[in-house]
Amino acid sequence: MCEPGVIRKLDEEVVNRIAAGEIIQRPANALKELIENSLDAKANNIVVTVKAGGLKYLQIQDNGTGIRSEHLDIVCERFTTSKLREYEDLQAITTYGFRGEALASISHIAHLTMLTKTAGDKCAYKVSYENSKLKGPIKPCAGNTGTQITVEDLFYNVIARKRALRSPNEEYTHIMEVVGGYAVHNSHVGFTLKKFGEKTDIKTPINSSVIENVRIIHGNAIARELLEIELNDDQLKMSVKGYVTNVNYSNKKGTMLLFINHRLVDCQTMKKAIDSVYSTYLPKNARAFVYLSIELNPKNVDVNVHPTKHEVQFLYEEQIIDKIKCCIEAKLLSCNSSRVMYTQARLPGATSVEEIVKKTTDGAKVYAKDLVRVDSDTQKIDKFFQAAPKAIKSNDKTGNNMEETDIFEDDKTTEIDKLPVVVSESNEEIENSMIIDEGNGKTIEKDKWESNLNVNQANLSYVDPKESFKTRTFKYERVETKLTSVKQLRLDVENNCNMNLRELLANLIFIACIDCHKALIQHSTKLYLCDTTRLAEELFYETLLYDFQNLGLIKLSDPLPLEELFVLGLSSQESEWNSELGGMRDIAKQMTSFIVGKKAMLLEYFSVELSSEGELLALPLLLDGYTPFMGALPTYLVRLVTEVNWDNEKQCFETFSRQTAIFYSQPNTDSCSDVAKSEQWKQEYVIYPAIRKYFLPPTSFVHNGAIVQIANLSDLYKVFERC
Amino acid sequence: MCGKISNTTYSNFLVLFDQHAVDERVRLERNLVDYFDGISWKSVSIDVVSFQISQEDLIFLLNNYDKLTKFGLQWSVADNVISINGIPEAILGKNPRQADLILKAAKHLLVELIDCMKYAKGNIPLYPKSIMELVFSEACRYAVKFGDTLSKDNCVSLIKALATCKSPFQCAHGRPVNLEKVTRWKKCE
Repeated sequence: MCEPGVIRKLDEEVVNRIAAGEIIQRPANALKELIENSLDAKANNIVVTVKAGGLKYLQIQDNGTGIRSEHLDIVCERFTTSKLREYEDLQAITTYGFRGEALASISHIAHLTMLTKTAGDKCAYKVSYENSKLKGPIKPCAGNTGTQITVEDLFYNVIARKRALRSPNEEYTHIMEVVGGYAVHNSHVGFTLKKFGEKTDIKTPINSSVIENVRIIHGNAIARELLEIELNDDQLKMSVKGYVTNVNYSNKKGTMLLFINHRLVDCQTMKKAIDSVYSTYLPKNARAFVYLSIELNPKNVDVNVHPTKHEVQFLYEEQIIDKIKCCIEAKLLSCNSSRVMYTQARLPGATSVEEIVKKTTDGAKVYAKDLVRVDSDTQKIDKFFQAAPKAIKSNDKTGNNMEETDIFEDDKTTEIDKLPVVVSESNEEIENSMIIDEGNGKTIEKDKWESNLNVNQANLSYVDPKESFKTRTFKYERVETKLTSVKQLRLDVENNCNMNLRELLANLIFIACIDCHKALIQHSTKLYLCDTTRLAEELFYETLLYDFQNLGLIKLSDPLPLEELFVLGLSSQESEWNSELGGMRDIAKQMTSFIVGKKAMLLEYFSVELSSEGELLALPLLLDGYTPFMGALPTYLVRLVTEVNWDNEKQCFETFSRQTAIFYSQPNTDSCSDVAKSEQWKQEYVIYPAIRKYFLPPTSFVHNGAIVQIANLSDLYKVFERC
Repeated sequence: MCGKISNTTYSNFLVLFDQHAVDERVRLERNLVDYFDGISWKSVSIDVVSFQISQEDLIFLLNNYDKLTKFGLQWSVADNVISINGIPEAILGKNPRQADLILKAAKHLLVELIDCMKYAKGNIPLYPKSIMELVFSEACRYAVKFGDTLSKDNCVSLIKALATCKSPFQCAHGRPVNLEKVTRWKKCE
């Protein structure tokens, strides 16, 4: 027979430490208690600072009422509280705290320092506690009204518990949950959570709204799909308020923020019931975001069930849950009469492109949904043939057939000889045929490509976006411009370049033209819709800046009289013509003489050749194989005079380049099939290859719809994989 | 793409519908109305099936007789053997279904309901999983497939039927796919 054990009364310190271990299971519990204290003290701004998941350092600063200095000696003792007097009060408890154990518990398992000041005090007081007793004297010091509590080295004397807490990161996640939950529920209070010495993770403003705080903490994807829940039931003495996501939103993890009488609690039955409502509408194993604040008659709720107050018991649970279920269900169905569609004017992947590429190029296992089935380097045979048959038309007017050759100024050609790559491109001859019907000023223009174009990026494999700057500079080092204004403009372009977009465009695969303004391209597993005109405009603008002083010439076989062109350009805007300005012809004359006055500069910098008799001799060659739509020429010339700022050097170059780029980017919108075909050929084999090669896309393209993602393979897989 | 292209009003939108998902949703809601009137599930009688059940489960069943009849179950008990002579019509289905599948589903339903009563304090979902799985799969199986060619009239009637659905934006499996992609076309200046 064994000896019966001796029953002893436990040492008080042991008792306290055991109790503390129950209440404070992890840093998040300590923080929850402290936040609740702050809220009970009517604070409206709470700042939480955390180091190593709260295990090393956890500080909470509020602007509440503070603690009276005469109570500082007992505040950390067990069973001292300002919130409860008699047991009966517990039946109608409205404050978070009531047991008077939180601070005591923390002081038993951590170093606790408190700095507090009430509105009536002249100064703040600083105190340290150990084992619920004062440690050292109360020191007066400077401080704001409110309380600042610092908890250091949590569980320093409970080694087993400290070891059990796996990682600071996990603890931090729990802390984020607690702060996030209270921030959503107490939207009138501003919450801030940050890691010590790092940037703020959560920051909600004072007097914000629930939806706003959900947006800040859980993201816009949830906030924009929220439905408001409101339910009152006199019989059950219950009122429910909350927000739940509609059926459009689902997430593997799901979030359930349940507040019963303002207490953040867990309630498995409620959770299961709500999940079962959603399970009819959401994909398998997906969950919703649910925030519910249930207020029940305090008499029907027992909060004193669990040491961390994490669970509560309440009467009429079945009926209450049933009511809430029905309410959510009705709400979910009612909202389905309409659905808000969000248009994407931005590129959802533009910020993370590099990551994806890295993944696909790493050679790790590639899933079917990540498999890219086309090679951006493959070429099609029709690249080498001009699509539109133009022979018949141009032969009718053989007189107008002419040859145009790019001419580089002599000094440049010598330099080019040293760079064979460039030579092959620039010495190329382009045959252009042009039919100018001067009677009505409409210019129909047909291009003929004599030989295959040397848009030679066939050997390009993956292009690193960072490299593209180098290719640019390499090519244009041949003639160094000495004008700082141009350098400045180039720098602006480079600074404004979006690297992710650049990477996307550098590795694009041309899919098809939609019309003369739009085309589809593929990059990796995504399909994009591009506004070719806008892209081309930026491309030509950049080309003008980078090829400054180096542009080739498109010689016109017959010089065009500027005056006639100006008249045409002005008469196209006839409706807005103000007769007070005088006759159109006079204005055209003035314009001609004005522009001829700039002729030397135009030729040197931009390769626009004018004769002193007022004739247009040549236009700049911006892209090999690309001639602008001559129908837009008159308007362009008018705009050169009216829109370009000729007085300031930098602005002059900028606006001139911009106007020229607009002119060059205009496609021939003629719906005749030949024209359309040649426009599309031009897009596929001239513009997009050039975009792949040099284009530095400005950041604004991410948002303004110039490039829009319309499909993503992995999303399509999600959609079509079923049953 | 398996969807159907529609541009009913000449707006700036191109809307793609997934024909399978559309038909599936339409069928699901039609069937569900037949099976379930909002309060209780329609019951059909079947040949009696009996099996053993534990004493504990039996107590739960007997205590919640009313609730169980709402799910279209009709049964009687002798000793520890439960004899089922009525099941929800949804389990039987409108199209022929294998007998053992039906039997299995009926048993699952019973187990699911008992579990709910045991662990969820009597909170039984209105749409038990074991019934819904069958309703879903029925809708899916007999719906138009991908790649099936639809006439224009078929498409029109499908879209019209979809418009009357309670939650037209989800397929039976909850995938948010009926309206596949909406792209705004910028008007050409």
